[in-house]
Amino acid sequence: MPSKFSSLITKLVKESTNEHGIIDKSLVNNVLVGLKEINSPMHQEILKEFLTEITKTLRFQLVEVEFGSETSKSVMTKLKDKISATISRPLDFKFTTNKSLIAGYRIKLVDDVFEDSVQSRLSKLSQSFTS
Amino acid sequence: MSSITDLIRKEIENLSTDATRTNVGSIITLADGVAKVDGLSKVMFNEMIEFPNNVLGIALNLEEDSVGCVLLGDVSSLKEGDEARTTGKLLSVPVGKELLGRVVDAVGRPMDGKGAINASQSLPVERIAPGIIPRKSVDQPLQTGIMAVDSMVPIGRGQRELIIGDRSTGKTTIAIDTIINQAKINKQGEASGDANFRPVFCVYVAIGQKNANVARTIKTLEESGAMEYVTIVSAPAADNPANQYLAPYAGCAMGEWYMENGMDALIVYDDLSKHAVAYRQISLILKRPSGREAYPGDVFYLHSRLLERSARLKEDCGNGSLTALPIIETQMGDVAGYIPTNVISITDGQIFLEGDLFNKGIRPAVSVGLSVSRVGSAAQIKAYKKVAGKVKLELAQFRELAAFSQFESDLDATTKASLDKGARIVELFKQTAANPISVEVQTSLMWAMQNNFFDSIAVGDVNRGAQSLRKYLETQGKEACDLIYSTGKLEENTEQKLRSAVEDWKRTFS
Ligand SMILES: Nc1ncnc2c1ncn2[C@@H]1O[C@H](COP(=O)(O)OP(=O)(O)OP(=O)(O)O)[C@@H](O)[C@H]1O
Ligand SMILES: [Mg+2]
Repeated sequence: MPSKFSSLITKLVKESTNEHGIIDKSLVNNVLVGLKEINSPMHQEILKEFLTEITKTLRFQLVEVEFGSETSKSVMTKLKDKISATISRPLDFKFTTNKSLIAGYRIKLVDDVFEDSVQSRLSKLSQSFTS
Repeated sequence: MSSITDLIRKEIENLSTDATRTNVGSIITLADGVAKVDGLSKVMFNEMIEFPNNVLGIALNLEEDSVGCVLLGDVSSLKEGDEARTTGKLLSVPVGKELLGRVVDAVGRPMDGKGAINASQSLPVERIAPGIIPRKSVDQPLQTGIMAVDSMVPIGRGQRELIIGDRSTGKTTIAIDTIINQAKINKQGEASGDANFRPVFCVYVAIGQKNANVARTIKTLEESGAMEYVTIVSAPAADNPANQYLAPYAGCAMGEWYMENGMDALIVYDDLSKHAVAYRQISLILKRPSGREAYPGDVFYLHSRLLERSARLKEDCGNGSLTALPIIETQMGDVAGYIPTNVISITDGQIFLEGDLFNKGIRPAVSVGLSVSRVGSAAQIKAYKKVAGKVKLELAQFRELAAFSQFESDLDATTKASLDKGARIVELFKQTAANPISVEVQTSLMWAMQNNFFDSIAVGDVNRGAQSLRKYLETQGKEACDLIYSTGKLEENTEQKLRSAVEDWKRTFS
């Protein structure tokens, strides 16, 4: 159900995104300061809806990529390009190293996980024994 | 040295990638065996969800931004924030003859300490019921071995007959006796070497019962030698509501396996009132809107989709059947409650047990007026139909007239005769627990009653007489019963043999 502020919220979210369409913390901050200065009687409601929308957008933009070992920049860029080519919305990539994967990768996009790692293969193997 | 690195490099290049895609979420809230999970946007209804430490859940509530899962097994190891993953599988349980003689929980794990069950097949717990095309009308008897039932509310293979009554009116006993009788018939049939003999395999689902009661039932089945044809699925009262909710569907999948493989099976759900309560508990925790008696709106579907899975299949679909005996407990004889009316409307008839009769010692306490079988008489063997055709009406008339029996001296002769007859039939129908009577003996006893052999015996002695006659018919007078067993009919010469057997017995009885 669209609320009475929906067009305002859309504009505010747009103000919070950088030139790549990614939410930027400092821009969000600017919007928050602005809202506070105006201090409208509906401040609370607007704030709540704005933050909900920002959280949702952040969730859909974030791509968490974990590698089992240190990975070169070129591999990262390749991966970025490949994923961006299949998903049309702006994406914010976070690369980390997770030693517990041992080797391989794990990519989390909203609630989908794409994974091929030694750890996942081992756990699959151990499951095939127990079930 | 370099050749080794080359080799390794080559091997690594040739490594197949085996990326898996899973849909994940995290637990937001956790309470009473139910987890609310964030994410899991691609989950299917009833899909198995995997939690850490091998805990499984089932997705029951698919909401816009969260999923409600009921958890199976030990939930104490889970906490908020834990990851949940979809598995792409629906919950399945082991099926097949390997489960005979075993006691299992709601997901088919052994509970009897008799070791692992090496079933080679499994079936999903929730399945679509057979449609109209493969079904056939019910026309083969399923003998309960209880005279009051087999004569007045006969049950056929593939039928769904409700057993309903207040607490402690002998509901479980009717179901267990029926199972014991199947085992007896199975053994007799297997011993006869008849290639066309069709045994009935049994599944008994105990939902929300006290452990002591389940143990007593197991003991009864073991003592009567029936256990080798039975699988018990138990989700006792102490179990979490998710398991109680699942148990009937799991048992049904086990029963369906026989039906789909061209065999006959019987399933008892003891009882669906407690099942509905477990479902209500889950629904309230899931914050589903509740309706009448605080049950969720889809409580009808809860039982209709379960009972629809019982059927009799056509010959070209394997000729199998699954007969269901669901049990419902009423409160003070009130059949108009929400759950009782629902289940009455789904089943093909009901055996109504009356507390008053039970307390008067008329056991099994089958109410003549309120018990019906909508399809069963088509499934009665010819011989029995011939002698029992009128008995329900006679007994109903008797119950009506019994109110006036205090004015006995003023009554006309026909009314008096009707009262006398009724009182004797009531005595004939009294039967102890775990004591099923074969259909040929039932037919013979009923024949003796209809041919006035009990008229000269005082009402108080009729039951003793019937037991004595039964013994005679099972030993010296066996010939007539054997003929009924093999032909299913009561032909001229059979009737003669029966008459002389009953006359012989009558001379010895005092
Ligand atoms: N035909 C019978 N003859 C003698 N005793 C019987 C008979 N049927 C049942 N009983 C006895 O009555 C008691 C209650 O029977 P049963 O457990 O079958 O009732 P129920 O309706 O299933 O009870 P509950 O509401 O506790 O489930 C038991 O002790 C049982 O042995
Ligand atoms: Mg009972």
